[in-house]
Amino acid sequence: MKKGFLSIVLHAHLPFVRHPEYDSFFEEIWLFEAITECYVPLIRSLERLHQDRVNYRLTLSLSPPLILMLSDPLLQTRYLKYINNRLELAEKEIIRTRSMPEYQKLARLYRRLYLDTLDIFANQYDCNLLTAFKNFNAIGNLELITCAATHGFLPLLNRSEAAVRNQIDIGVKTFIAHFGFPPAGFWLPECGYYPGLEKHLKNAGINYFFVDSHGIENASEPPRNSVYAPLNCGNDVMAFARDPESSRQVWSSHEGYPGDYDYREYYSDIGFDLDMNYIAPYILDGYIRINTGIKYHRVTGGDLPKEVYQPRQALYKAQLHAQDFINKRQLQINRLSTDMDRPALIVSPYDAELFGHWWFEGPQWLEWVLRLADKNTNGIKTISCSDYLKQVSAHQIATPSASTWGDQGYSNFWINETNDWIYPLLHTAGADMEKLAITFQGVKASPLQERVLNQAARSLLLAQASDWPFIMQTGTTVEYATKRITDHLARFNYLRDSIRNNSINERYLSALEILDDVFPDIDFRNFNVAKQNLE
Amino acid sequence: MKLWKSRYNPLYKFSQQVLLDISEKVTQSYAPHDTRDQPELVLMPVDPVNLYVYWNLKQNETENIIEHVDKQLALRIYTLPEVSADSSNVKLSFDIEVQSFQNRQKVHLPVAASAYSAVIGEINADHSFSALATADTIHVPRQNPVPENNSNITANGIQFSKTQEDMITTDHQAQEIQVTENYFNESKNMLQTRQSSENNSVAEALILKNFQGYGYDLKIYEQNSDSATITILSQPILAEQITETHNTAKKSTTNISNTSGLGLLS
Repeated sequence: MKKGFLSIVLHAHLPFVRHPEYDSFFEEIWLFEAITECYVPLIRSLERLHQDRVNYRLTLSLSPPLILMLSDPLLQTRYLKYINNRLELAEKEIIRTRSMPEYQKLARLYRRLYLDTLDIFANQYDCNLLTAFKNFNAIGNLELITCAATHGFLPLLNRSEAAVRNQIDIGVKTFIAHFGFPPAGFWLPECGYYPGLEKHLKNAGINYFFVDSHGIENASEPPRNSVYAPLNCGNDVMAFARDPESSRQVWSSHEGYPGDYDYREYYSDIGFDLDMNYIAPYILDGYIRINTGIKYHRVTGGDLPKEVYQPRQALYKAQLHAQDFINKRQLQINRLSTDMDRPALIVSPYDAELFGHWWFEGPQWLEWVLRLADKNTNGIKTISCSDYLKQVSAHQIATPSASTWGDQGYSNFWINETNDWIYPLLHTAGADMEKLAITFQGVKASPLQERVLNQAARSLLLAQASDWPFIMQTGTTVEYATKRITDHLARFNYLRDSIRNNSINERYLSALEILDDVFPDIDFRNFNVAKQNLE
Repeated sequence: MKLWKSRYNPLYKFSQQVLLDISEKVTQSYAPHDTRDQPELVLMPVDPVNLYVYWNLKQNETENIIEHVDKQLALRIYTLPEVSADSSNVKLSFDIEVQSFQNRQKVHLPVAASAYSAVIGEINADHSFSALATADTIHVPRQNPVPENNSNITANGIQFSKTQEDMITTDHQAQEIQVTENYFNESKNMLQTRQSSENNSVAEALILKNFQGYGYDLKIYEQNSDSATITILSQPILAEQITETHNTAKKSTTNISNTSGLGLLS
């Protein structure tokens, strides 16, 4: 038997940003950047691992908003426009840098990357990257799990059981609708857990979820195996903890790998560096400077002038860091195996968008970690949490402690003076939604009423996204987050009143359905608390 | 020009401009504001020693308070030891004065791993309390691991974590009173016992004035014990426990934070 296992979990999520009412919209670029820098590079790595017959297990959590966006024809079309625009810029850069060979080499690299990305996106997967993930799942290397419907921060939606339950259930249903099978695991948005949540997860058919380390360390019973074995929450739903040591190696801004001086510098981008007349066609509205993705410098370090990025050196460093990561996991497992009555499991969850976007070399690092773990003969192997539960049974029963993986480990990031105003509004809307569902209990709604009620539920869910309070706290694009939550709640209020006043305007309803085109199979009746409690 | 068609009724087609116009009209006319017709008080746990409170009172009630200078709007927050994660025979309570124009407040709590509830109301001239809305019970999490065994449970039932115990262990007996006395002296708190008028089952309360500088007086009751009052021995221990619990809570438990998505951090 292996002495221990390593479970790497990537959580991929972006807020639902789709604006058919505009020709182009800045925040949609979040998705386009992630496709270019994170998801396609990940797919590229998984393909190489498959070609080289590397035996690995990786877990990928795909949030429902991301699933919806990746499969949305409008956004797919807009992505093609985006990547072609980037390709044009790279070609222009090759000409501009002809007297600067080091820069021109990088410009050529970007052109190659964009061409390859376009090929993977458009030709190999017909513009829908979910197909790629589905394939790797079918091969047996990639475990796919999901998350709450709109990434709602469940500890603060807990005022309404229906709100929490629908965030979970609709998330699971969305996943099933796109992948054709139920997820075994569930990523709690922001790892936000509170005791009792496991009941809803169980009802949704979920076997396991993740919490931050202190969620297990401070559980209702002292965890016998620290954070290196799951806890059974008492209803056979298992809670796995994030390993602090391996997390720190990647996340920490001080000791983490991504800050190495050989890696590409995120904050040096030609969108900010070059002459406005030249760069205008590739930035926002032709005059607002944004990241273009073309970056020529490495971190360098200290206050030194930024040096030119050396891709080979950076790749070599990624390999070294992957080896270091594996070595440290081996030492960790050797240490743990002396005290544990079962194989230790090191769970290392990361935001998928760290790999490639913030840390350009992240996908290569991950690929090397998976390769090295396969070659490793000293008792470490990659595994998914589902596999672990199949191999190891009889887990300690205890309830994890309320926790998140955010700053300070609790809910502070999502409720503070920058964003606290949203919660009374969200709770009121949630209660109103429940009332509407109760009103129509046992009553046949007309087709038009049905549409209004379902659209109201969509508006509520979109307002509940954890992204809005998160953005308000970070202080970036606060205006957008405020507008989004205000728009969704206003749309909810409008729809609610049109039911209450029997004043449905189908034209307005149709427009809102186009604007917030999510969860096509939603059923407003599931917001009826009484009905659900009877089931 | 691109036209968006309704999937339910293809007769409805919209240009981008029309979609935008409808969106703006709806937002302008239905922008959210708190419209609860019933008074409410809601608690939300933030971390082991903080919670958020928001409330919604009928306008005539707040106007009534403004008109009467001898009335003060206040939140009365109290622990529910019988349903807390760490069971205890000690009940804590404190009042926070709030202004009538306020509708939310962050509250620093005296102990972790506890259940809390609250009531908002008026403190009248005769110190009686008239409730306007009550809150549901919430639980704040523990901030340290549960001890391996129960030997650390004190007479008052509040558990020391191993870490906490270690921090106090050095010359524990000698320091116990010292720390407690310093606590009272340095913070210029006053130790009092007062006949309680709020709960007949509780005879006397220990009061820590301006607890931790948070602007409220913490009342500590010992209930469900053989003795109706807090014993002389348990007073300093209890004060130390609460102080220690709170100081530990001020330390960050997690240094690693996530980025939570693309482009969301500068």
